[in-house]
Amino acid sequence: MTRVAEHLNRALHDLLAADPDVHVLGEDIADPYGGAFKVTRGLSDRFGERVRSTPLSEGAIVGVGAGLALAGEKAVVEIMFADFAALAFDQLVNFAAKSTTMYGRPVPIPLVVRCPSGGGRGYGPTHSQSPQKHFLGVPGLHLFELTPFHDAGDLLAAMFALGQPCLLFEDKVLYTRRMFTGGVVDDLFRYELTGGTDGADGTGGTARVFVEGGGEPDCTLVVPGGLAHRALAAARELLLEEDLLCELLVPARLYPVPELPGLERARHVCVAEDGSEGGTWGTEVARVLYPRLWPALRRPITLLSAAASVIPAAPHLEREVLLQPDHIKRAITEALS
Amino acid sequence: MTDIPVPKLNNNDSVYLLTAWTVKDGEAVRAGEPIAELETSKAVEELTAPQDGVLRHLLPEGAECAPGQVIARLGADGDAPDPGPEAGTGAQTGTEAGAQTGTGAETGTEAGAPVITAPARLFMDEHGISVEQVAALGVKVVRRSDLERLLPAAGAVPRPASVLAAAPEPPVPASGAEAADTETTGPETAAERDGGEGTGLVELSRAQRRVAEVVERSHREIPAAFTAMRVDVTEALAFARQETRRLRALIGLPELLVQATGGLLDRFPLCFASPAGAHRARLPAAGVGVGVTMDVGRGMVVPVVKDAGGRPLAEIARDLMRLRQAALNGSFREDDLRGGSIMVTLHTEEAVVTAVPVVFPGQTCALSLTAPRPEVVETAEGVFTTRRVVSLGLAYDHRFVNGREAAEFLGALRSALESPGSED
Repeated sequence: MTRVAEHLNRALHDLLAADPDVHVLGEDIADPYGGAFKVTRGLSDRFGERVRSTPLSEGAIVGVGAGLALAGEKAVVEIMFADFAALAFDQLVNFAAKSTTMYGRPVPIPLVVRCPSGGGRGYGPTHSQSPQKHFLGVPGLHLFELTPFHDAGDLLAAMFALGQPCLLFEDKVLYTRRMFTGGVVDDLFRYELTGGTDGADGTGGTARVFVEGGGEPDCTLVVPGGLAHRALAAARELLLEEDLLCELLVPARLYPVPELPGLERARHVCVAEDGSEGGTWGTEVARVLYPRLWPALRRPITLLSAAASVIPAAPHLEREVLLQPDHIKRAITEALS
Repeated sequence: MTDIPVPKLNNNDSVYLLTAWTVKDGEAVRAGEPIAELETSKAVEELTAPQDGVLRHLLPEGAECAPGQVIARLGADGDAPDPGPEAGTGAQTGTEAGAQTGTGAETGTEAGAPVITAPARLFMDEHGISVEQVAALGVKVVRRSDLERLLPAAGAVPRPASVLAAAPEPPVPASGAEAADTETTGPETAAERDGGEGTGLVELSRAQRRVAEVVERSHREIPAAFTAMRVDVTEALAFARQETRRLRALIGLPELLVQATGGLLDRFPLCFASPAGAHRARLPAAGVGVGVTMDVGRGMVVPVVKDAGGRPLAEIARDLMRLRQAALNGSFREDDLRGGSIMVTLHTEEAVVTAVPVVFPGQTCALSLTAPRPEVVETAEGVFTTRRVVSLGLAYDHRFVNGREAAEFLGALRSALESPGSED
């Protein structure tokens, strides 16, 4: 069994070993500390100066990363908490994303900015957010999210192959969970990776999670990787208690929204995420899906997100704000009743 | 049979991995002997046997398990092996574990046996469809719609439950429908049934169990009465704002009340006493310790502000702030929770009108403070104005304190709060 953090750590080791052009930058990432979530553990000991702990300035780190990429190298930048990516907004939007097209010819910017996101740990308002939505719709900026289904090495390769800056969101709750392997989720659910997992189409592919021999789903849940376990818990209860069959789609790339497989068969579509309500990723998914599914849809797409609230530090209050399996279950039961 | 649940090993993980059983299924163990290894995201912990007995595994090696989930049972030497179906039913398919562990929870079915949804199970009961008939369908997950086509074959005649119970059917596997389980697995004591998983029972947290002990004892031992008084805190609130700036320490009504309470030991010694038998009470030895209730979602605690009568407001405020932070981090020292001679319970949620506190065993009095609310009053000039008031309540052990002292005690606190800072 491999836990997600360990899996990602190995992928970074492999990446640095395979490609001498890759640099890793971030706050406190060097050994022996190895990063706030230990994802960069062992990298600086093994690869020396290519892995650097930096001053506490997100703007500077992302700027240096983009500069390295512009100069023909490749960079992986760690933002300690995704919340702090706001400090690098200018470098991402006005420098990294623009540099690909500002020099008279396309210039590759192989830059991956890793952003540990999400709550559930009682870290409070500014260390628990899922700020994906703030980076949607920037031309030349791609948003990915780690999932327990997708191989992290393939994902890093897919992002670098794009030659454009990418944000990789990593929900903290995933780090300690195990990677799913061999197409098996648990006793009920199976999964398969569809489309472009080798990075050929630049989307990283989408994991489809389904009940073997279950037939046509009553509802298809589209979720980013960080919500995979909560969506699975909801799907399990919906099946065993309410007789409602759900299928999950977990795309590796959040933006641009990739082609999501099999939706024509769905009786209902629900998009769930842990960002705060309003101007969400889900509305972007719905925007893409409505023209395609309009003739088949029987009811509006259900959009679920965290509440429109600052995230409290007290665990019982935090639970009420962030999206829980119960919320998903209730919303789907309600929509299909 | 004694259940062996998974203990909570840390705050980060919702599931742990059962890496190995160190005692085989069916082997005898002694209390304290390690029986299994559980891997968290950070470390491997040993699980030990709580008592002597014969171990029965309920989970295979390599499976994930959630805190609280029963993964093994201990039986006496002669105990019949656990009936198969009970092992792994309930919680593993039930709401609780499903929600907590997400995908980790197994349905616990034996290999090949179908998973039956709750609506499907109900349908089986209503129409007398047997598990064998369902198994013969050859589907892995049985939903209600799968069963509807079985109806003609099953005779479509609803059978009463008694007939069902008498029928020599194999035990119903998995996915906790208690009704079906009890009918087909034969007699079962109420205790067993209630103790079973998936029955909707909730295990109290350690913190809440401690609270339960204390309030139960208080209710059993202390004949408490209650008086509440309205206190105008308009000036106190202004004073608190001013002192917050001046002292650079957060001052609010709780801080002012803790200090005022501490100053009343000489006038109302019995309100701070500790009952010593039915006819005597012991006065506090060294200063007044005021316990203050705090609940930040990790369970209620009552840390104590020491020597609340003899110290300046700023010190009391800093103490309280440190205790609040400790409540948030769960980093109390043992000493923070000792030495209380009276308790102040805070009910500062908006719109709480009044609250009756429970007198802490070993004390005679408990105060309650609500959030300020506006109140319109007529002034001496005959015009109307608003003031801010709170309800200040006192629950007291009537063996030691009577209504008159209670009212005087509250009156003294009221004076202190209505003219704040006058003692300095």
